[in-house]
Amino acid sequence: MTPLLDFETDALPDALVARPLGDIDMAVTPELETTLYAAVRERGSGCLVVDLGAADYIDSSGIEPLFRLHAALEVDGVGLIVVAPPGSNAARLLGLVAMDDIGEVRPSLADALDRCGGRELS
Amino acid sequence: MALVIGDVVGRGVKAASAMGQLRNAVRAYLLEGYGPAQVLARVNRLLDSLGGGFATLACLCFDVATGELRYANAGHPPPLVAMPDGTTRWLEGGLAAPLGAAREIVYRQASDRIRPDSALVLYTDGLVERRNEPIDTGLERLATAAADSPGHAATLAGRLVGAMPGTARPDDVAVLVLARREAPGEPLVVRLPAEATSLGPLRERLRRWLASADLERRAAADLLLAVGEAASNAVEHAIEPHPAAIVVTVRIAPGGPVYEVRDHGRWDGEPSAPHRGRGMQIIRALSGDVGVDRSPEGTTVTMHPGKEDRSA
Repeated sequence: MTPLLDFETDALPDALVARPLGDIDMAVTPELETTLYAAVRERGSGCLVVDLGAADYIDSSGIEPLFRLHAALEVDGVGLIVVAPPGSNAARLLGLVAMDDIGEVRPSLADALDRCGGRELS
Repeated sequence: MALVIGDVVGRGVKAASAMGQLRNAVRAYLLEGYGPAQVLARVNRLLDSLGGGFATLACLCFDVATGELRYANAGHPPPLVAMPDGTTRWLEGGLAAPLGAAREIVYRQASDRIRPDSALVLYTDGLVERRNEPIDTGLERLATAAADSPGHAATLAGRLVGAMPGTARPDDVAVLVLARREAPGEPLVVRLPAEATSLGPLRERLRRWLASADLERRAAADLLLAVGEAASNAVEHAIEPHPAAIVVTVRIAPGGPVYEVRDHGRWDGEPSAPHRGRGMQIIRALSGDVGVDRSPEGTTVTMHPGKEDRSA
């Protein structure tokens, strides 16, 4: 089956950056979750940055994997940081309802990476 | 609105005056309220009484509000429809003999529909006919040139003429293009299977509709999100009958967009997964007035213009 979701990943010294592209909805949720888990497991990174700035569309189903991911990664001591730049669809969504259980939310990738740098790597 | 295109056999003053007479006759019959097939039958009789002649003529009546098309064709090359997905089709119905081929000709009416963002192309054979080349080659070339998102009528007409090389007799070429835009204020109705993979195509339709709806970017994105949340709920809860359908209706009301998402499942906005309840919260945050109507047939969520929330 062809993947529905386009992805960019960057393996940086302090963090693994995953940037899903296009539309993030219920149809791609399972793939998003699997891809993110696999990436973290392979890398064993101390910090996972999910950059939602490039999403053309994202809704509550699309963001759902992040809740589970956050809970699971916390157990392993891996930090999850979500990037939602001001004016982006992700920022709009996160501004509408409180979602404080998806990890830290930062306005830019640079900001997120700063946070990762100061983190204790597992 | 009526569109007529024709071609009189012969050249020079005689042919031009015959065309002038035909044009006036067609106009008169249309004004009398005759349909396309009746117009052609009458014009044929008139031509005979004027001493004969030979002409092809396509007569099309177009309903601007609905896009409905009724037409009949007296031996004229088939009109072409260019659709927004880049495909084309020929209007091959209602075809009978050219005017003047017999004293009495029975013309039959065909019907079709020109959907928003499509274009109707009428032309004379001068556009498609080339020496030493079967006419099908020219028709194919025309269809290929039109097979691109149609856009504005003038642009398309220019593109078509430009794409048809070697016009031997430019005075023999006529092109008439009608482009139907998504009419502002016309509701969008989308019916799709209640499956997660329908959500992408649904957004595509919404985006296209929103592009012509003159909504500001933020409001358009909000509408996409609210409808997306409601449709996701519908997909998640769709049970019977199989295959269940989601029907989304969107229209612009004086206060802003009004939308409705109807499904055949039963859901009450309560979370089924730990975080799914957020969908309904988001819908409420985006829409001033949300109605959820549950019946044995399914669930309908109606949303009215949101409060002036421009945060984030």
